[in-house]
This record gives sequence, C-alpha cells and structure tokens, in this order.
Amino acid sequence: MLQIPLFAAGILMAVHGLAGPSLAPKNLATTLSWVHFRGALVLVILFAGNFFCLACPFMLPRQIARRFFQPALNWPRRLRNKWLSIVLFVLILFVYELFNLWGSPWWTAWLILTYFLAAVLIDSVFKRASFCKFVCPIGQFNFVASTVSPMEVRVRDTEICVDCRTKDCIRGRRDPAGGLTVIQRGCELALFQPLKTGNMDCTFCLDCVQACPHDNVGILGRLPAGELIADPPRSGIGYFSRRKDLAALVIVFTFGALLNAFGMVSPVYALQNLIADALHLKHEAPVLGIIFFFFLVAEPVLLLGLAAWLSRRFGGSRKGILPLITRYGYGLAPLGFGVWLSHYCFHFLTGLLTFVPVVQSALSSVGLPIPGPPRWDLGGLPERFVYPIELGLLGLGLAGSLMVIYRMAEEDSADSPLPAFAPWAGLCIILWISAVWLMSQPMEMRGTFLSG
Amino acid sequence: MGIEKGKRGRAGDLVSIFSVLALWLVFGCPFVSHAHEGPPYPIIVDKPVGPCVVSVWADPDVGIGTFFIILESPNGVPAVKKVEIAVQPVTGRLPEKSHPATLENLRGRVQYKAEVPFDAQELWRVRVVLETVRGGGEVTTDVEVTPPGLGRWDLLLYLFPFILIGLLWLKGFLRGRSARKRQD
Repeated sequence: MLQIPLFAAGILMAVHGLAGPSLAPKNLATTLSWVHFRGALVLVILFAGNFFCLACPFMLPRQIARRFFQPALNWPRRLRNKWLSIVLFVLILFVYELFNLWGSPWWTAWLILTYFLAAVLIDSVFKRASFCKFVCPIGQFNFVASTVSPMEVRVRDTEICVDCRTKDCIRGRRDPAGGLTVIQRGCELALFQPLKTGNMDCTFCLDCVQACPHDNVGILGRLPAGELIADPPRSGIGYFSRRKDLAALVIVFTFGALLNAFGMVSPVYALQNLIADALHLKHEAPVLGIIFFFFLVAEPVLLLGLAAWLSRRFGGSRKGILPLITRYGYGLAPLGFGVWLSHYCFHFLTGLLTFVPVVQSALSSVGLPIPGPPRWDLGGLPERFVYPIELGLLGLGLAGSLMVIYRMAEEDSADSPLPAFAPWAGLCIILWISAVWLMSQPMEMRGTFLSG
Repeated sequence: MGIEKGKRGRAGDLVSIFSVLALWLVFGCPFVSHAHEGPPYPIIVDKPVGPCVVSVWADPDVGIGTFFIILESPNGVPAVKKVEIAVQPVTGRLPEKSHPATLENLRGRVQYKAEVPFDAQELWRVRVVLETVRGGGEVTTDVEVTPPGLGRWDLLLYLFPFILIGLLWLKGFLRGRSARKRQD
C-alpha cells in the first residue's frame, strides 16, 4: 500500500526531471529527492525503523516483473557480501558531487530511472531479494542507520518458535491444499526470525510477520543501538566481528557522512583549487577522487589503525589490529547516523515547505488549476531553530557511540574497560568535533534557490 | 558493595564526560559564534529588471543581514557591471546606504551576495540595483529585520530536549548492562 504512492511520486519526479524546469529549486526531481526524501528517510529511521525499505517504490515494478519472469539464478557466491554495495554507495556519493546532482533535475531523473531499472533487472534474474541485500546503496545506508532505530522486527515469544516445525517465517507458507505453491513469501534476505538479531539486512518487508502461522512476529520496541554491543551469531549475517565487509560498510557510512557534508561548505572549493593547482589538474574528477580517497580510505585507515593500536597497547587486548577495527568499527554507527541526520535535517527543515510552490508550478504547467500563484515565499524553519537541532542530533550520535563502545570495551575487558575504551572514545570525539565544525560552516542551500 | 560502587563510579564517569562536553559546547565552543548563515527566504521573486529576471533571498538579521541576488535571462545573463543593495529604515531614521554585492563561485547560476549591517529590528526599505552592458534597473521591497536571539542561552534551551533524550538513552544502556550482569 505504501509502495504505490511512492512509486507514483518517483515516476512524477523522473518525468518532471526530464521535462520540467531546469532550475533545481523549481523541479520536483531535485526538490523532493535532495531536500525531502533524504530528510524524511533519516527521520523515519530515527523515530521508528526502516520503513522506507518497507515502502520502497523500486520493489513494485520488481514484483510485477516477477509475475512474468521467474528468476532462475542464485546470486553469485563471491558477491554475497557488502563489497559491491559499498562501491556503489561511494560511486553515488562521487557522482553526486561530480555531476552536481542536487542542481540537475535531468541527472537526478536519470538516477531515479536507473535505480528502477537495476532493481527490476537484478531481481528478475536472481532469486530472493538479491538487489536489496547485496546491491542497493540506499538499502545499505538504511540497514546501518536502522541499527540505531527504536524498533525492530522480531519474535514476541521465542518459546513458541521452539515447537514450530514449518518455519514459515523463512520458508514461506505453502498452499494448505498441497503442492509447492508458496502463497506467502518468507524472508527473502535469509533472516530466520528465532535467530535474527537486530535490524541489519532487515527491510521491514514484514513477509515474516505475514507468514508466521502463530502470529509470533511483530515490530517491537528496543534500545536504540543496543544490537551493536554484543556479538552473537546473527541469522543471515553471521558474527559481526567476522564480517569485515559489514564493518567496512559502517566505516564508509560514518566517514562518508563527513565527506558528504564537507562537499557542501566553502572550504571544499578552496581545497579543490589547492589540489588542482598543486597537481596541475584541469578536470574535477581526479581532484574529487583524491578528496574521496583521503576521506574514505586514508583517514579511516590512519585514525582507526591508531585507535586500534592504542587500544591494544594500553587496553591489554590480544586481538590483532584488523580484528579490533572490525569489532569497534560498528560502534561508529550512531555517530555516523548523527552526522547524516544533522546534515539532512538541515536541508529538510530549512526547505520544509519548498515542495508546495514546486507542485503548484508543476500542476499549472500541465493545465491543472491551482488557487493563486505558486507560493515561492514558502520556506522552512528559521536557522536559529535548525542549528540547535543539528547540534543536538550530533550530540546524541556521539553519546550513542560512546555508550556502545564503552559496553564493547566492558565485554572485552570487564575489570578495566577504560584503557580499551579511551582511544575509540578519542576517535569519536575527533570525528564529532569535525562534524560540529562542518555544520557550523555556511552550507549551500541545496534544492533551494541558493544551491550551487 | 565495593563492586557496586565501582559500577556506579563508571556510570558516573560517563555522565561526567557527557556533562563536560555539553557545557563546553554551550559555553566554550568557538564554533557557536560562527553559526552558519540562513536559511534565507525570498523577498523578491522573478521580477524583470533590465535584461534579467531577478530573485532576491534575504536573511535580514540585526547585526549583519545577508542578501542573495539571483540573475536569470532566457538569452543568457549579460556581463554585469554592478549589483548593489541599498537599505534605509522605512521611518527615514537613517540615510540610505548602498552595499555592493559580490559574485559567488557557483556553477550554472549567476548569483551575487551582499552583507548589510542592520542596527535595529524594524521595517527597512531594500532597493536592489542592477547594471549590465545591456541596460539595468532596480526593484524595491520592504523587509522586516529579525531580532537577535539570546545566543548561548537560546542554544541551551533548544538543546535541553536532546540532553534529556541522551540521559534516558544512557539509563537504558545502564539497565541493559545490569540485566546482563545478572544473567552472567
């Protein structure tokens, strides 16, 4: 039910992006994507859970396509990890900067259409939810962010699952009259409910809820970020500490948040000019590539490596550097989410009502009547309300990461967690200070009249 | 008892860390005084001025107000000789004063920015002057200059809900920790 209106909105955005005004603040594609969708997405994840995956419009054409084309192949074993999706996530961030997607309705429309096409093609060829689990960059973002959500899909009473013989939640429910027809899908992301822990890889599709014959699965409340502390074996995922790809995803998610925000403040242009002059580069792509390499590779390697080394040296851990980074890297998720929240909420809240005149203008351009001229005077919240909200969200992100990392340190060394905790806490504080500085810079008002 | 005191001591450490950070942010953080500009709001939208169509967005705060002047033209924006913002209180309390706008380094957009000092919250007349090689013109509007906030006290007030949520979150973590210890 939720997919239909979002699908309709997606199509309208694509059409308006291709055929509507080329000025970004006057176009649905850019305004709704880069101001409203991103902001609403992170706020829904913050207050509830991964409901955007539940309402994903890309799944609607995929469902329709599967009525005609039954996928026959399993997703390649070598790609059953997050590395491909990490590359795609970084690619989207890169393309966003290189082609100024926020200022280009045309390119934004093509991104939307490409996304639809990719989802339909991949899930028409490969079984289960291969696109969601292994490809979709937005999905991976949502998975990491929703580790901090206050809600989770899980069993109500584990005792009921002990006696369940049919395991419908993962196998699906077959036709009671016999035969092999599945009348209700089970989890296509391989998350077996009795052994599922947390929101990682959960799209909130609720297939498990509908499939369970005992009505024993639901959306339940929980402690945000609590799932990051312990390291139990997780259905469909394994141990977090053994999943370097997942840890890398969380690290890219966090450092990518800072990078994406940095791309919008004036010092980035000074840095780009400095790099271009120093290396005699004339094109933006290699300059951006250098900045991306620094933010997403060099900086994390340096900072995380140093924190791990200090933690090992003074915390008494016998684990290697890489296992320590893999373990504690997950603790950055709340801080990373705080940065994304702070950044996206800035645009969302300051441009809250900007969609109204854009919709009015779009309607009148196709001859539909609207009362009065488009209300271009509508904006959003004043800055003096938005800035404290940004700082508050950053503060909560830091608090969440510190609490998670402290508990991790306690799990590893109950008697003296502070020496193991301190280097990672220092890292979090450094990243937090960077984020506060970034959010304090004049920021381009993307998706509004002042975007650049 | 000694172990319980140790646990409370560690929880107290966490609370102390957060409290110090919060106080530093509000009272010591230099970034607070450089809060970013905006959001501006449109005061003039799509007005023809000379060969261009002009829109102006403003953030007219007491202290320094910021104006963004966007120029568009179906035939391409001609070379611009001058963009100025002239302001005067509607009451005539002060003489009109002009402030030049500077071209911003943006792609695909001709946009100028002017920073204008305002000394009081009242209604101000704002005149935007444009001169290009193909002619020019001006457009006038009135703008209410917004009062300054309370500064750091404003910030503390608005941060209060987040501090409250943070403390509740901490309580949740400590409870989970105690439950885990009991299980072990």
